[in-house]
Amino acid sequence: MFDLDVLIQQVVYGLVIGSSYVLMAAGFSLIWGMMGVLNLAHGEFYMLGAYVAYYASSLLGFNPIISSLAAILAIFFFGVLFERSLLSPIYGKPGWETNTVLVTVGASIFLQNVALVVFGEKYKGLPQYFEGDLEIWKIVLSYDRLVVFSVGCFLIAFLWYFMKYTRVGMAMRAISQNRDGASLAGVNVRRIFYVAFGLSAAFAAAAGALLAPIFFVYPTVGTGPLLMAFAIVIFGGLGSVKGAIYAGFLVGVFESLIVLIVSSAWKDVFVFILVIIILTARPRGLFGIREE
Amino acid sequence: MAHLRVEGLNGYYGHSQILWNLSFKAEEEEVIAIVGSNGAGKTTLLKALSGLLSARSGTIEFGGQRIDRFPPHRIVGLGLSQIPEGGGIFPFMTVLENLKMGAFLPSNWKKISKNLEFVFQLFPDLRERKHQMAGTLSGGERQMLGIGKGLMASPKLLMMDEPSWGLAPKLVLRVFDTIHEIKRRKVTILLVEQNVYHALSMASRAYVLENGRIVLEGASEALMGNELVQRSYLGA
Repeated sequence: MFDLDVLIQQVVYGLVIGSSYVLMAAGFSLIWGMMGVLNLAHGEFYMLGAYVAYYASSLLGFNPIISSLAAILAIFFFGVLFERSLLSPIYGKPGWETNTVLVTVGASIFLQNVALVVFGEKYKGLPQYFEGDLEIWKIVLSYDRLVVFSVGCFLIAFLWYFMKYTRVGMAMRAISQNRDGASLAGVNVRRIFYVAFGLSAAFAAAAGALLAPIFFVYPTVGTGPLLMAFAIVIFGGLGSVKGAIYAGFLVGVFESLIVLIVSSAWKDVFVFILVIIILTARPRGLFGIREE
Repeated sequence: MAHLRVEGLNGYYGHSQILWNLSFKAEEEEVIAIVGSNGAGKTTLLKALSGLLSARSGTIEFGGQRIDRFPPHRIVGLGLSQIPEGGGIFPFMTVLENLKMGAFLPSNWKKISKNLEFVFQLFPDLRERKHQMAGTLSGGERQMLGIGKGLMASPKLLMMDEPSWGLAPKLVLRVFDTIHEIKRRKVTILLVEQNVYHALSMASRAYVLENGRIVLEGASEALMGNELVQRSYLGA
């Protein structure tokens, strides 16, 4: 039906887009699983990261890698501030589970409108930074996309290592599995919360920043990625960073194959059909960690 | 001066008071037991001591320092370590990771290999299963992992919540042997138990908790001979 090289080309594109899904979903999943907070402002971290990268590139002339790092750093601190000022005060109080949803929805609307006022409603695009394409055996990948993919994979590897081997990363996993057990081991749970929140925001910002040279940047640009993160987290298993990694890449490849076989207009429909099918077979997702 | 001194401790869950004016103490390197039936408030008491239950009033002193306003992680840092019911383990982490988590505090993190060796000596089974997920362990192994995790925090005082709960008689004996071994390492032990006979034979002194109040206290031998204890707990 299709040439093999066209197929492989789409798979490669899928992996590129998948890497940004992973960046977006991993942090979302971590916060949901560990704190029980459904952060509906997660897409705004993506949006803000994209704007930081946009201005770092267009005004200061930074290359995409440097401007992504700037976005990661800036939004990490923004995320910490967000948790400390908006979530920490209501956390654990009666009704906090619904209240945190209200707060994050409110923050999402607020941030989108601030972006509208400050940055304007115009779609902003960056010129191609690294000209040219990499070509291996009929597979063509622009250098810009190659940068997205390499930096994305580097960040994912970093996150995986961090969660698996570092003291703080282990503490994050421990809190999601048994919060009292973690407290009794000496973990300052509240401190880990804001570090994790900053990390989660920084990874969303990385996705936005990396994709800024490829897609446009506008105030509501985070809505789509949030929805996708939602699907991936449910697919990969709530609270599982590992699940988000597998599911993110899987959905990215699946989506770009749908674009090839059906059409790009239908890709979200098929992604959500896939999620429904997986959930029917495995209600906790691929790597769900919640026992009860 | 007592190692752990509790004066007039009250504890609450929401609007209901669970612990009523409890006072007790433990000397250094002593084993004391707090015994009582289900629902007497034993677990709540341990939560109040370790800081997990913040709705508490009264004085708790440990090593001469007041700790009743401290959060759990600071209390652990002082050397007061609690092994909760079920061990407080992390089911989706390996045995080794669980033990490492027990040594989370920087001062303990440095002593990981030494403490790990001690735990593996105590529980050779855990060494064999160190790469296994904790959630796949048997009840007895989980209990041992919980104790091991508590020991990784280099405790000066170890509080154990029902270490014999749900275990086969043979395993119960093993757990109590282990407690003997820990005691020999100069760790003060506060044992909370439903298994009154075992608890009394292990501890030098004991307190009997009923409906959140201490109704009896004294040396273990004396309590063992006490009529109320015999009737209510030892089935004599």
